[in-house]
Amino acid sequence: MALIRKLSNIDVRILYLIMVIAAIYPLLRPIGLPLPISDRARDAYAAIEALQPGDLVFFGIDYSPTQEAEMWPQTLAVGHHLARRGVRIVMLNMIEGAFRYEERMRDIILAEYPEYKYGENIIALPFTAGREAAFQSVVADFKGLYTYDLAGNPVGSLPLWNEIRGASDFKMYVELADAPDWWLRPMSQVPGLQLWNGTVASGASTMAPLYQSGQMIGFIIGMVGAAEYEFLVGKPGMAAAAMDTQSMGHVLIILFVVLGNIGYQAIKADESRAKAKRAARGDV
Amino acid sequence: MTFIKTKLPVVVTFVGAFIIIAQYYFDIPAWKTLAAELLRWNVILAAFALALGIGGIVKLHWGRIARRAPTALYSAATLITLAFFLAIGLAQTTRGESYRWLYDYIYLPVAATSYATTFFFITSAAYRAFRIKNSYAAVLMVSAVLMMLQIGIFAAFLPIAPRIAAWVWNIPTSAGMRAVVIGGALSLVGNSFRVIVGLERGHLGGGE
Amino acid sequence: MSATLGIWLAAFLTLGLFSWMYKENPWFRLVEHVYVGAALGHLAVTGYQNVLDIAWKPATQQGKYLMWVPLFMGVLLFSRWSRKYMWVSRSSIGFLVGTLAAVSMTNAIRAQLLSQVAATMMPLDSINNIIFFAVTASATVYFIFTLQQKWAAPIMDLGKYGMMIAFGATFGNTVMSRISLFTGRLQFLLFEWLKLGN
Repeated sequence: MALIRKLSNIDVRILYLIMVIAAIYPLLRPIGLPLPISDRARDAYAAIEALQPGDLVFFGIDYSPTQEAEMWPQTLAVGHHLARRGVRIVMLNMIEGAFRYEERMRDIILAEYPEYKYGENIIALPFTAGREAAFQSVVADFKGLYTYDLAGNPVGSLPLWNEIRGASDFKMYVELADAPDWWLRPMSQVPGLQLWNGTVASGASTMAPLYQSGQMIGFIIGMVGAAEYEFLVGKPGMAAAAMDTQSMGHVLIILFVVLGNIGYQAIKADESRAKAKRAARGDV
Repeated sequence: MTFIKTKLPVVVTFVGAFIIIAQYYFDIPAWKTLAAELLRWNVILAAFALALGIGGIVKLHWGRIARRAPTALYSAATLITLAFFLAIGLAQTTRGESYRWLYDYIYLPVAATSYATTFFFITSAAYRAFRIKNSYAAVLMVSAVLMMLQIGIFAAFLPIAPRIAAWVWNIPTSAGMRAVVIGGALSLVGNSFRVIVGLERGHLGGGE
Repeated sequence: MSATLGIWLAAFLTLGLFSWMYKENPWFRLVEHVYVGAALGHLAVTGYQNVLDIAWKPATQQGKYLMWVPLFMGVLLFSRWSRKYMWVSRSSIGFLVGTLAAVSMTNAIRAQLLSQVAATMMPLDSINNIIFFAVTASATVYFIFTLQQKWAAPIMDLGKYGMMIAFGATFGNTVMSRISLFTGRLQFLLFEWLKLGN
C-alpha cells in the first residue's frame, strides 16, 4: 500500500523527464517500428493522384506556427504530390502566421520542378483577413478580391491569373488548416469543387462526420497522416522520422493513466475500508 | 446623436446581414455584386481589427513601466519587441528580408514552442487528472486507448490494431461528432440570427 | 552569419519557454513577454499589409473610389482605444459582425445542418450503418434540453456513451498532436541547433 501511495504521488517533473528522454532517444537512435498506412491516407492519395495535368487546384496553407510540427510535413508531402501531377496551383492563405510556409512551399516547387514557372502554372496569393468571410469572398468574387500576389506583383501581370474566371474553374481545393470547418462551409458552395483536407490531430474529430458524409474527398490527420503521406509520395521526411517518438510517447501516456488510476482506486478502496471500520466502531 | 450611438449600429448590422442573406433568394446579378462588395469590405475591416489589440496591451504595459511595477522590465521587453516588429513591418511589410528574419527567428520559435509545452500538460493530466470514476469516463478512456492503436508500436505486436482504431474513428466517433456538429450548427444559426436582428448586442458594448 | 545568430536566438527562446516545466523563472517570463509583443506586432503588420493591398492601393492608384468607404469605417474602429469616443466604432463593428453572422449562418445551414442530416439517412442494411444511425440519433436527442421525458432517458444515455467514445477518440488524437508539437521543437533543437544528426 505504501508503494502504491508513492507511485501515485510522483513529482510530475520526473514524469516530464521520462517523457523527454523517451522522445529524444528514438530521434537520435531510430528504432524502426512499422508505420501502417491507413485506408483514409490511401484514399486521400488516390484523390490527388486522379488529378490531371493542367487541372486548376487551390492550395490553401492556413495554419499558424503553433501547429508547424504537424502541418509543415503535410504541406511538403502534399505539395510534392500536387507538383508531380502537373496541376496548375493557386496558393491561398487566410491565417496571419502562415505566409512563410506558403512562400517556402512555392520556392520548393519552383526549385525542384523545372516545369513550374511562377505566374504561368503556379501563383501564391497573400494573406487575406476575415476567415470565413474571406473564403466566402473567394467564392463570390475571387478575381475581385486580389490585386497583388504574395511577392507584391500585380496579379494582372500573371498569365495564369488572366486564364482564371472564378472559383468554379477549379477542380479541387486542398486545404491544410489547423482550424476545423470555416473553410469548408463556404467552399462547399462551389459546384464541382472537390474538397481535400489535412488538419491537426486535435481538431480532426470535428471534420470526421464531414468526411464520412462525402463532403470531403480526402482527409489526412496530424503527424501520423503526414508520415503516411510521405511514404505514399515516396519522400519520407520529418514526420516519418518522428513516428518512433510517437510510439514511445503513446505507450508512456497509457502507462501514466494506468498508474494514476491504480493509485486512485487503491487509495479510494483503502479510505472506504477505513470509513467502514470507523462506522463499525461507532466513531464519528 | 442617440440614434448614431445606439440605433445606427443595430441598423447597419441588420442591413449588412440582410444583403448577404437575400442574395440566395433573389437571382439579381446586381444584388450578388453588392453582396460580394460587402464581403470585400468585411475583409478590409477584419484587417483593421487585427491591429486593435495593440491599444490595450500598450496601455497595460506602459502603465506598469510608468508605475515602476516589479514586472516593469518584462513589460519593456514586450513593448520593445512590439516596436521592432511594427517599425520594420510597417517599413517593409511582410515581404521584407529583415521582417522575415524577425518572423523566422523570434515569432515562429516562440509560437511553436508555446503550444509544444502542452506536451507536458497532457503528461501531467494523464497521470493526475484522468480518473475513471464512472462508466462514462471508462468508455472515454477505452475509446482513447483504442484510438491510440493507430500508432506503429501497437501494430508491431497486434497487426489488427490499426483496423480497430480505424473502425472506432469511422463509426462511433464520426457518429457522435455528427450530433455535436449538428448541435453546433443549430447553435450558430440561433446566435447569428439573434445578432442580426439586434437581440444580441454584446459586441456593440463599451463607452457611452 | 545572421542565420546562425538567428538559430541561437530561436534556441534561446525555445529553451526559455520549456524552462517553465521545471519551475517559473525570469527567463521564461522574459520569453513569454517577447511572445506577446511579437504576436501583436505581426498581427498589426499583416493587417496593415492587407489593407494596403486590398483597399489603399486600389483606392489611391487604381481609381476604385468605393474602397474609401471601408477604409473610413476601418479607421473608425480605432476609436475603441478611447473610452470617451468608443461609440464611434459601433457601426463598423456592427457591420463586421452582421456580415460575418450572415455568412456563417447561411453556410452552416447548408454545409453542417442539411448535409449532415441527409448523410445520416442511410440504409440500415449493415451493422455499421445501424450503429452509426443509432449513435447519431441518440446523441442528437441528448441535445434536446427542452424535452425532458422519462422514456427518452435510455436513448439519451446511449447518446452520451456515443459522445464519450467520440471525445475519447479526440483525446487519443490530442495525445498524438501534443507529442507531435514537442517532437517538432526537439527536431529543431537537436538537428538545426546542435547539429546532432539529419
